[in-house]
Amino acid sequence: MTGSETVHILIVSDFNAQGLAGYLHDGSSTPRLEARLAPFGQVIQSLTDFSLPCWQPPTDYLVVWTQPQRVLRSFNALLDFERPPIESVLEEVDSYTRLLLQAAQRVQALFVPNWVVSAYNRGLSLLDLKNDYGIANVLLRANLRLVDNLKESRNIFVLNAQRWMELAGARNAHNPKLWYMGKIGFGNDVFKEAARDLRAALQGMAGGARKLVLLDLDETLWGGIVGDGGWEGIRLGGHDATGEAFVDFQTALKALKNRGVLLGIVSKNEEEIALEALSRHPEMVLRPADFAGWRINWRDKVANIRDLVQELNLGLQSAVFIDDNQVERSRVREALPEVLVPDWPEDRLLYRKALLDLDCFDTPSITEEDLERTRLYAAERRRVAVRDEAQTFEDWLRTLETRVKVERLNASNLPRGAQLLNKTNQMNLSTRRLSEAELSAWAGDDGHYVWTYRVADKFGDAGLTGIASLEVDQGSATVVDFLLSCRVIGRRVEETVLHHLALAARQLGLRQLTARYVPTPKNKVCLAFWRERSGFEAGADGATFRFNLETPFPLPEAIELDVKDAG
Amino acid sequence: MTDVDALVRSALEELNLQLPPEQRFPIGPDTSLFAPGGHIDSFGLVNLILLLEERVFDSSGLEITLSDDRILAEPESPFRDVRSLTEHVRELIDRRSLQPDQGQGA
Repeated sequence: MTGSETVHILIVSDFNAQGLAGYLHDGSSTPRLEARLAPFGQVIQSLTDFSLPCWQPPTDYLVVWTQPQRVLRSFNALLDFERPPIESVLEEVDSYTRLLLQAAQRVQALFVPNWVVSAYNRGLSLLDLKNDYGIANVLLRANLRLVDNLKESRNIFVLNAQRWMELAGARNAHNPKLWYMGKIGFGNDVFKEAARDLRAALQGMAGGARKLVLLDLDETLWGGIVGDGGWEGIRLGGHDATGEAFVDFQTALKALKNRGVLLGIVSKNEEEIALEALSRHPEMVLRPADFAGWRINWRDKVANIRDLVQELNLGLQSAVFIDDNQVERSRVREALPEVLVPDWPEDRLLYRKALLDLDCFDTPSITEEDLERTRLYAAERRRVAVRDEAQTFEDWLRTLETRVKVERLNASNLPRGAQLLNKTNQMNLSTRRLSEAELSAWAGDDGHYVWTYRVADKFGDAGLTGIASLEVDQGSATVVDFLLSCRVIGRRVEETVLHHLALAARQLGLRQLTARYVPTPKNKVCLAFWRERSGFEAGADGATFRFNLETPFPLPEAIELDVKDAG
Repeated sequence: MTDVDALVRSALEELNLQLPPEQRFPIGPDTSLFAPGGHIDSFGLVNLILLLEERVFDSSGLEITLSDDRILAEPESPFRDVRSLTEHVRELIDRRSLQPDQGQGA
């Protein structure tokens, strides 16, 4: 980012893409998006000459949207039913992707919609996919080559433009009049869908993806009222359109869970009866173990949502609430505006479609930690149960047998490290947001040190859940980043990270460690830690902290630290 | 019966969405469109034409052509303001519905 509140996007295209720029400007986005166009039709020039005026204002993100017949000469020949060898097409794809890779180095991320041709073009019709010279055949292979060539790049994302065409419908997607009258490549509805996907991508990159879906039960996860007829009486599965639709909806939720989004239940019901249904119904897809937590009782749902979100150490802005009841939806929407409450269809056959259409879960990467998230929360439930039984906090810590492993930032931990940097809000000293490429570049500069921290205990492995960095300058070091996932805060991991930073700084021969707290609406818990538990001396402004390295910073009792890979 | 006022308003509202918030314009009968000092440029005009043609087709099944060069070249362009545009669309719809090849739901 350029440090301002506005995100700058440059659109390079071989058609008039003003419609896309317009829809991206939509004032509802946070941060505000400012899209501008390179002169259309000058794709190659724009991707090779960075002194052009279109590159002069700051550019955070780049969109390169082209048509295959305009950037691939052989593909154009194919449209004329000439017979270019597939190798020529693929070689041209390779040349084109080299330009993209080069341009990507100048921005945080580059988005490339895949190539499409108008659905009106029947090509070789019956033979179009079968024949080596079929338009559809070659288009598939060119797109696949494009994706393959770019898949190792960490900041290039190929977007599925075919989806936008289908959502817009063939009539709206490709209208020859638009081309002849304004050199406009696609219809408004295509640009609208493209803008929606791009906004969701940027939101996800800024750490704004939703992480938790809270679900009602009766008439939401299944048909009927479980409290009336027991689990045998609910409508789920069987030879029944509605029953099948509920199974499919649950399957889609399970898929969401499998990619790292947590599921929770907020339902007005008897807990025992509802859990019995989840455990015993033979066609139930989601079982109790699939949920990170639940509140099944007769209390107000707003209070239950607050409670559950807090238990899961998340913010309300991470949550989505799905309920068939419009009154409950309005109540939550009004009382908890940070929670996303999507309009929900009355027709139960449309539940799955409504879920799949939500664009709030988009993330730039999926890490092992994401995939394991529900299991991690189950471990946390066991951990809390032991805490409630322990005599003292220190007793509980000893029981946990916590281990912290430090690693210097490297290629394998970079994706998760950048993800954590961009989405951690609460225990975050400076809330610095950097893309993978930017973080990697910063870490490579002289005097910069970035470490990641993996935390495990006897209940499970929380994975890579912390990052800290130092900037060394003339005998002293500044803590630039200090952040921990909510999953591990309050277990003396904070002090363990400071112990390691002090250790590293002493090994570098430094005398003082300084940290400066940068306030955000969400990181007060971090300030409280630095003031009350860090052991650093607070400056007069209450936001600057110092530690004299002549004294070692103690490692908390009962924590095992592994620094083998920290060098 | 096609509500032409509503169609024109809806097309202009859609067009407004493509503009940066500070360039969006209020929509009323006298709002100046494609005219000196008007709110839309040539890109906006192309889009407006297509948006209107689509809306007329979706609501009535009638295919009208707003993009006729001769009309665009007229000194008193029907695209100069909302009132003249609405009248122009109404005329085209009336004329088209009288033609025998243009049944509903084409």
